[in-house]
Amino acid sequence: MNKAPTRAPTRASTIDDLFASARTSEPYIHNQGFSTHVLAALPERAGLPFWADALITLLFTLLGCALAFAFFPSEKFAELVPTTIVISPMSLLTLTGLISLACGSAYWASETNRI
Amino acid sequence: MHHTDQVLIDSVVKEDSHLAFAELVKRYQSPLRYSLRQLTGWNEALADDLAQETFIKAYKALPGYQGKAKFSSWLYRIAYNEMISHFRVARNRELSGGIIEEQGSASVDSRDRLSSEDHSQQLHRDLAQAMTQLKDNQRMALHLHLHRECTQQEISDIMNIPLGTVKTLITRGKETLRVLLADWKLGES
Repeated sequence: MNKAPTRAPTRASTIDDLFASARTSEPYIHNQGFSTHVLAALPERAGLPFWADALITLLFTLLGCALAFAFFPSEKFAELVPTTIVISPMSLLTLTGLISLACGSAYWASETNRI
Repeated sequence: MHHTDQVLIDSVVKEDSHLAFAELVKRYQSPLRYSLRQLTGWNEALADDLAQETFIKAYKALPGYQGKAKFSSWLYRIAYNEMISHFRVARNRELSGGIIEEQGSASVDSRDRLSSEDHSQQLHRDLAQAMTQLKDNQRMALHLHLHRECTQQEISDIMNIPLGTVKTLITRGKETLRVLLADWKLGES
């Protein structure tokens, strides 16, 4: 049976008893759209501003270029470049087929949001 | 699947997941709204407004939540600041006296109106009405102590006040409540 407050003479333990009773009978307050209101009022999280985003991209691009320039063996690379390339028609056809397949796969993946 | 608060918080912070935040709101809306009703003299509209503002501020501040305190304690801290801020603005507009008087007079009205309602519901409202007679910080300290059974250290952390002040607030608040609720005691319904 629920204990309830009634008018009566004061007792020393009244306060603790009253709050103990309140704790055990604390009602559950139903959501009733409260969460929806809160979520609707949430602000959009601000990302980086456009200029900051562009600046970071530029800085990393420059860094990449500097690293490539510093470490890439440009002299040796020139020697590696073949002067003559011989390729058979069958190899050329296979290569074209593979490139077409890769392009088709990339298109399909991007269109179906698989990336 | 039941996720811990920390998992949901991480999801909100890292992925900006509104779904995870909705879960946190659902988890804490009832106790928080109940607490704010207790702290506002059972003013349901005001309590819900403060609760909504609390959750929005929590969402904004979530990236700074370090997990040192319980999420509920952290939430109560925001709610307490919201409540203080609200009453400060109200006082500045010279409305606070009106609010307290309205709450005091509402107590008598609601007691009559609620005579046929559930006694436990009446108890919650009457306690909330009595609490309005206390100062803001005293009310919060007593609520956390008596309703939420927080330790004095937790109350000190939530309210950002010294431990000694918490003890004083609770002792004096209880004395005041004892006078205010002098006519009430527990009985069988």
